[in-house]
Amino acid sequence: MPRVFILSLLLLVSHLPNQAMALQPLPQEVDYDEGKARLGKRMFFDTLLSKDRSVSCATCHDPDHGGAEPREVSIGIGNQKGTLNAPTVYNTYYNFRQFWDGRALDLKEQAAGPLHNPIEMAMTAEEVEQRLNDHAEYLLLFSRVYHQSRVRFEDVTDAIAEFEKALFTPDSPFDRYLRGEIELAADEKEGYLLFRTMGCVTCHNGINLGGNSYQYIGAVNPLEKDVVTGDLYARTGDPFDRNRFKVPSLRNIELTSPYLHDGSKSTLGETLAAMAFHNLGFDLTAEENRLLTAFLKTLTGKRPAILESP
Amino acid sequence: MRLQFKIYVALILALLAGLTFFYSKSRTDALLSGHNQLIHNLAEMELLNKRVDEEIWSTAYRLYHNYDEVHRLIKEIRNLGGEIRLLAFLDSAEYQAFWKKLDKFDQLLEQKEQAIIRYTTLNSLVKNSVSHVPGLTHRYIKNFVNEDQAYVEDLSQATSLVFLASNAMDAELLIGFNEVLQRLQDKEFADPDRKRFNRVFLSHARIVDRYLAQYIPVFMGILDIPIDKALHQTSELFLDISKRQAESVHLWSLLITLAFIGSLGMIVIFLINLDRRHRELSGLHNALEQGATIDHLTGLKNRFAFERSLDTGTDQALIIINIDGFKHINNFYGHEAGDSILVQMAAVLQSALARSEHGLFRLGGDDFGVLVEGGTDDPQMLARKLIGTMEYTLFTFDGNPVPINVTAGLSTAAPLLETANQTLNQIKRTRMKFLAYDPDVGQKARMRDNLRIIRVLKEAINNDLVIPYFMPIMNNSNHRIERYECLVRVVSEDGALLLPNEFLSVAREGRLNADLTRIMIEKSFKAFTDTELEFSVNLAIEDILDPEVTDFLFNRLEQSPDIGRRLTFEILESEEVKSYEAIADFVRRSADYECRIAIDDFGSGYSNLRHLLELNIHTLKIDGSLIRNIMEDPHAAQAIQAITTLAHKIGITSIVAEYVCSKEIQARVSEMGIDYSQGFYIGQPLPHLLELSMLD
Repeated sequence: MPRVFILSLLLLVSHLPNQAMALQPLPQEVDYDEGKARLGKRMFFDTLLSKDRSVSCATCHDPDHGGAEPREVSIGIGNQKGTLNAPTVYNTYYNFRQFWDGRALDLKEQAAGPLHNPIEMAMTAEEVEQRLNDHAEYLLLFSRVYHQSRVRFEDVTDAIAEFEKALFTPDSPFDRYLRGEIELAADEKEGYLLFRTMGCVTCHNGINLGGNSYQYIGAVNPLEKDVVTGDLYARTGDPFDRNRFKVPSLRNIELTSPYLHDGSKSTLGETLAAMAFHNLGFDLTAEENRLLTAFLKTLTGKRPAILESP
Repeated sequence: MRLQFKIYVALILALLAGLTFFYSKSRTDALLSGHNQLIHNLAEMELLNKRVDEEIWSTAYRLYHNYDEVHRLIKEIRNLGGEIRLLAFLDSAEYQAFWKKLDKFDQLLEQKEQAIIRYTTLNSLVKNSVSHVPGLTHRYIKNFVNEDQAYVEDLSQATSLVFLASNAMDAELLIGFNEVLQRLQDKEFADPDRKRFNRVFLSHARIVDRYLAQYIPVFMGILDIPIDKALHQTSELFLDISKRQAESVHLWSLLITLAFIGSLGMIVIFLINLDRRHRELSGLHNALEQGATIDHLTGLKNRFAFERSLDTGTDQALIIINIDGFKHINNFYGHEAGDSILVQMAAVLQSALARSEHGLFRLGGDDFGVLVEGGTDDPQMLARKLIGTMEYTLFTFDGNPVPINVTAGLSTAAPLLETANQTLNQIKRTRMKFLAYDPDVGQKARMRDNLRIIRVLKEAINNDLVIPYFMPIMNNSNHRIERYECLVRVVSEDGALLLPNEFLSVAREGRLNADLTRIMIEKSFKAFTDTELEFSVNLAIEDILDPEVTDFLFNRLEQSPDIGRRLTFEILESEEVKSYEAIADFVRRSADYECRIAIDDFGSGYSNLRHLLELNIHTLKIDGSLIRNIMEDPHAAQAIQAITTLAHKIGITSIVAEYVCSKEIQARVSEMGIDYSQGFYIGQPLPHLLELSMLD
């Protein structure tokens, strides 16, 4: 089996110069508006913005869980169970679209989604505004940052988006390796090689190792049954879009279980096996799994600095 | 008002021009910056679009690539487009077509993006499978004992077809691929490993089979979307519209320039007008000044200029040169001649004074003034010299000589004009040619006095202060006072009694003699109404010629007709008897009332024998000057005798000797046979009649 790697490697020798471009490190500093981000951060953790004050953004995008949903699927107000596992909020700024079905163009657009979704936070724009306008401190903070006489919904999402922009996790081992700062361990390196030769990189590429295209789950070996909800087809109705999802980012993947859109895979190993089979057509060997896992673990970056500051 | 209006118009035009300039400038600036941004953005977008295509090619060429970049590029293109949409100047209607083009571009971009997204899905799918087919083929050869040549051949064929078609980007090159897949599918395997392998291989091969044909057109389709052209056309259209816009800006510029030029033009016209008017006014002013200071006939400076030349500080003297009897010359030779004489005289004087500093003026009428500036010439000598020059000058008119005599008065005392004039008046009464002002003569005082007398007279007339005095006239045959002469006296404000010699000439000048005469007539009539005495009233020739006086007189006579035969008019002869017609008329009318006429002061002055005959004289009064000298001067006595004889001979029965002031004279007068005597010896004028009728 190792020979397969070497052969594959030889085959793909011509592609070597590309590897630096296909995957890129996160920036170590990001420009963002501090005032807005601080305000957004406050709201991110505030259950005030959900109908029954039980749910905040952080409930489903848990900063202690890689910014992702620790439960199988997300649960909204009144303990309403959703159908999807909320993706991580970390580094999501770099995704070309937001949501599993890519219906939001940017973070600002995305923020409105859960706020309005009746099974998530179930708030209308007016209700959000009212809650915040009645809150003296929010009123003051908003007037300082946005210079308006009252809190406006557009400013709410704007602040939250700005905060999320600051939720980046730089200096993962892999990033440092890409920058030439460190060397990877042997199996991490081999895992990285496998990642490319097997074809994972074809979909999981870019700065976020994903998040820049829609792909089919069950591309080579179809799933037992079609996805019920959350895919592009549910949004567009185009048969071409069945089982087609936005590719999630692999950064911090070791922190963000469970995996896949429905949170059906609780371990990385399980996910790897499923992905390799359905999307690449291969039965992953244990060794291959181990090596890939080693590689994926190098993608864990530092906790976002903004979470540490007040 | 018109000027103000014009100024406002000019100012408003200038203001408008200024405002329009600034407005158009700001518009132009905004326009230019907007244009620049737009063109820049469009150019950027074209560039970025090319990079998008590059990325697509990159992705297509490579097995795997970074999809981030293409999405970033599209986002940036959209942003740039968004910036364009925000440009304010595009709001105007001219850019309708441009907006359409921009919208079309947006559509195409959206189309391209969707195509790209679809492409990324297909690309990842196909690329993976395309790379795995040969890999798996090799793996089989490597790992499995080669029993089935046909199977290996199929794998190999599949490999080569996939390679060919994917590299050529031509699905048609998958010739026989379906058959291969069919055979692979139909293959039965006992070995589970081989079975599994086959399954995996087949799944990849099927991907290629199904998706390569989709993938290639989607890829080509992306590149076919005519975004380039759309951008280019948008750019062109914009430039086209802008050119038209620029023309409108040019129009504005033109308008501004025209307004500015117009404004300037207006100002220039105003200035020209102003200048013209100014010149007119200047000319007018000069002409006026000329007219005001120049005498048009002679061309000399006039009285007004003279007044202005007077300078009390310096030693100036004035010589007034006057033509004797100029009025007569005008009447005799005509006014044309008179004007010509004046012109000639002016010329003579001008040439005489040519080399001097003295000013020559025509002071009015026939008066020429020489204002002698102090220092150089002796004014007296100059005056004499000028007069001499006049005398040697031959003045002519129409070829005929016009004899001219001039007199001159000189004064150095201010006020020059008055004193010189006084001197001239004085000299006119004499035969002298020249007189210098003698301040001792007190002309000024006299003039003041005259005015005073006029005032006094007027007051007296109005306030009944004109008093007749009566001087007795004695009949030498019976030594009885049979008649009186009425003499006018005036009481002045301070009670002083003014005698005729003090005021008569003034009265005449002031035209008050008519009033005096009337008052005298009235009061005399009153005084003598209830008597049988005769009385005489003095009448001047002017009085006789004055209808006011004569009408009054005859009216009065009409009222008291009896008094007429006791009334005698004493008439003083003067040169003013031009025609006897009026006199004769008076004589006739007075004869109707049986009034008599007496000649006063006969033998002196203008004594005229013709008067004696024509006027039906009744009484002759021998002038006092003759009577006074009767004792000393034998000629006087003889003259008197002659007059007396003559008078008697022509039927004048009453002769009165005036100024009989002594007993001796009276004796002599009586001796000579003069009928009546009057004088201080006989009796002084008194405001009342004498009680006695006899005098011893």
